[in-house]
Amino acid sequence: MIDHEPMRDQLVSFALGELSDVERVAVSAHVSACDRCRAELTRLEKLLACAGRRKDLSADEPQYESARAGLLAVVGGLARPKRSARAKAIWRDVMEKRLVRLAVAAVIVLALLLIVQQLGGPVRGTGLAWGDVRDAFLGQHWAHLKYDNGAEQWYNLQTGDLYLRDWDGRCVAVDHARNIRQIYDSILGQHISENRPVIYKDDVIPPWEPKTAWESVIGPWEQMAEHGGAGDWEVERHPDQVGDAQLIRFDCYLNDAAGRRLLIRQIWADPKTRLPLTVWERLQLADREKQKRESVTGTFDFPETGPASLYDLGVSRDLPVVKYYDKAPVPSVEKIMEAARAALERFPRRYRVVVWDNTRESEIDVIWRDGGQIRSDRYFNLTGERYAPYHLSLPANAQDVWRWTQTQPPISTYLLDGEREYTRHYVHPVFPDSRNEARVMRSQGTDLLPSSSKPMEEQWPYANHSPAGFEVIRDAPEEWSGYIGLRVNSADIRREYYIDPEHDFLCVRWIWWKQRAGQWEKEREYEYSGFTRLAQGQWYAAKRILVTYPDPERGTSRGGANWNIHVELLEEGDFPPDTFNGDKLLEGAKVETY
Amino acid sequence: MSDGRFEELVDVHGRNVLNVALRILGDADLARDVYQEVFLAIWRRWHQYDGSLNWGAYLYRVTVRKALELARARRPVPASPDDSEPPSAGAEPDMGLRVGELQQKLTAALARLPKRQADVFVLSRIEGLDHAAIAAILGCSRNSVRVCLHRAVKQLAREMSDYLG
Repeated sequence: MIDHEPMRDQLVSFALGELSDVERVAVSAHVSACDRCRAELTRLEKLLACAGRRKDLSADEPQYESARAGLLAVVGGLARPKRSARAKAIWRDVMEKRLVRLAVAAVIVLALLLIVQQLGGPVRGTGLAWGDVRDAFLGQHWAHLKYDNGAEQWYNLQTGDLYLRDWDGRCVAVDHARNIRQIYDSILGQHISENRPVIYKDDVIPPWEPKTAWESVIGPWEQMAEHGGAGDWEVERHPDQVGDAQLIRFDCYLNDAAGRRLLIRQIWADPKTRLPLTVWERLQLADREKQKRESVTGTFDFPETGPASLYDLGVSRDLPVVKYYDKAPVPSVEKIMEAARAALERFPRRYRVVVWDNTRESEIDVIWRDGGQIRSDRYFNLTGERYAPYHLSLPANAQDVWRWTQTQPPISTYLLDGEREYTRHYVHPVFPDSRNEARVMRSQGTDLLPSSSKPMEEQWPYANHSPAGFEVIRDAPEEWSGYIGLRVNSADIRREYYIDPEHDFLCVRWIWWKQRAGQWEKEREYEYSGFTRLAQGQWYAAKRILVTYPDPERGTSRGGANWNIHVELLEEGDFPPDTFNGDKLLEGAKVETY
Repeated sequence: MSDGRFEELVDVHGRNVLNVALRILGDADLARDVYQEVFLAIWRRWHQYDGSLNWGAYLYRVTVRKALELARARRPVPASPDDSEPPSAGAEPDMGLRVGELQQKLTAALARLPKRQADVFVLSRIEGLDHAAIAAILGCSRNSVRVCLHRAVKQLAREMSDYLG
């Protein structure tokens, strides 16, 4: 008699598809001849088929959304769990949540001045003037922390952006201005997840106040040392003599669940240079086991540049980006204009801009701006053999254009020095009618400079209008999804503005319509593109195109223009002498004042 | 870990948690209870987790366990006509009821299996994972997975023999 128990194992293997071809043939042969085993195999196959049918079961989207909403509602009603005591999380929380925000710049400077005095006068000790110290730390762009386990963190002091690359390859990038956080974590899957780290009231992201490394890194610890720790942490501040240097050390203690007081983090800073130097962190159990070490040490440095995206941290560009947030609701017209004005207000006021057309020889403007003082010098790029000395080969980059203008006589200069407006024309060797003439007008509050003198303002053409009459476009074509549309009608003229809320509310398209015989027809449109980010985080459109459409009433045909725009941020001493000197500009010119 | 990561965790793994629970229990309401219980337990201990955890594996493990716990605690209910599976084409007239009943018997039998065997059976035959993936999730060897699966299949077939014809 056959012992069926071993055969039963074979039948299970058969049903589970684990057998080789040879074994399958043998079992099949047996089953075809044995009723008992055939019945058993049938039962096994039915069982597995029954289980297998469940593979197709899945919750539909409403069921999932309902479960998710229910869960998050319950979680929202619970007390927030205490923060992790994990030392590295302290940094992350400080950076990501910005628990402690220092006040406006004036208050910061005052507070720092007081601290400097309390610390025994680093200014006196070093022989540096206070202004030198202040200038030195206000010029910092990045704080970079490199741990001895390979983890690195970069913090953009000018923009509030944060980049992390952990020892295990997890990468995080936080874009403050766009309120976007991207995470690559192989544990969460082979994709980049993107979410909004902060929920702002009315979805308006507050502008970032540039900070010094001290304010960003040491500030929170100073606050906790002075005003008490957060949760289970306590922070103590001690002077610490390290070699010849008199440093400050902050010790962070965790009051753990067993009632012990554990030193989990230390940070050293130099009050003379106003810079953080080193951190020491005790690792948590899981990290200790994985990394086979008790603690890590990190060292700060302050580079001029840092990463610009998650990809710069080594994350593959091929990974899909999965967005875990809904498109922001469209704010009201008032809010949109407010945000645009705020962006315009944030835009630096000390720069040199070069504006040129790379598609054809035409005028080239070099614009200087320092606060309320603006100067625009216009040059002509000429074609033709006899004008070779005045020709610039196209296409050219901004640096080439700038260098070329330094070899050329200008055609004209517009200057606003804060009190007066000047228009100066020069004798140009090529133009026989050109004269040395100038006109001076007292500024009347609203300057009369040509719009080309203010290419930055041109990027928000809707910002300074009254919201009255504007409406949000609800029926925008598909190509404008992701942008906000604004429309304003007056008689037979209509203007539409498409705005990119993720790039400082810059206008991406500005369309002028005219009503002819009851039909709306495009009259002209501006397209803004090539969004470029300045070191301080603001965006500008490096390319602007104008298309004008044929107008039968005026008999005009299709035309247009192209502008390339390059912004170079400047410091106070970067302007050439007499850039904004009106009297100097008038020298040698016949001057009209009325 | 920040709170934002919790929500992200829910978004990344939530569907799978809900679906695993649904496939084990065959009941959307119960699956939702499991989903909520799993994530609330994580939320309550959120500060204890660190970056070293493999969330996908961990959630598989706890979801299967929670769902089976619920199945064990649940009193058997008679099969109802609105059970989740429609009868297949060409089935006998009473097959709709019969299939639903069979599924319930499977859930009940799974709940009576030793935990490790139940985990392995669910992950292998309902979730369709291979032995290596199951071994990684459960923290055991592939051979152990194979042995557990064999035992589970034999035990389930024995328990359900009256219904398997």
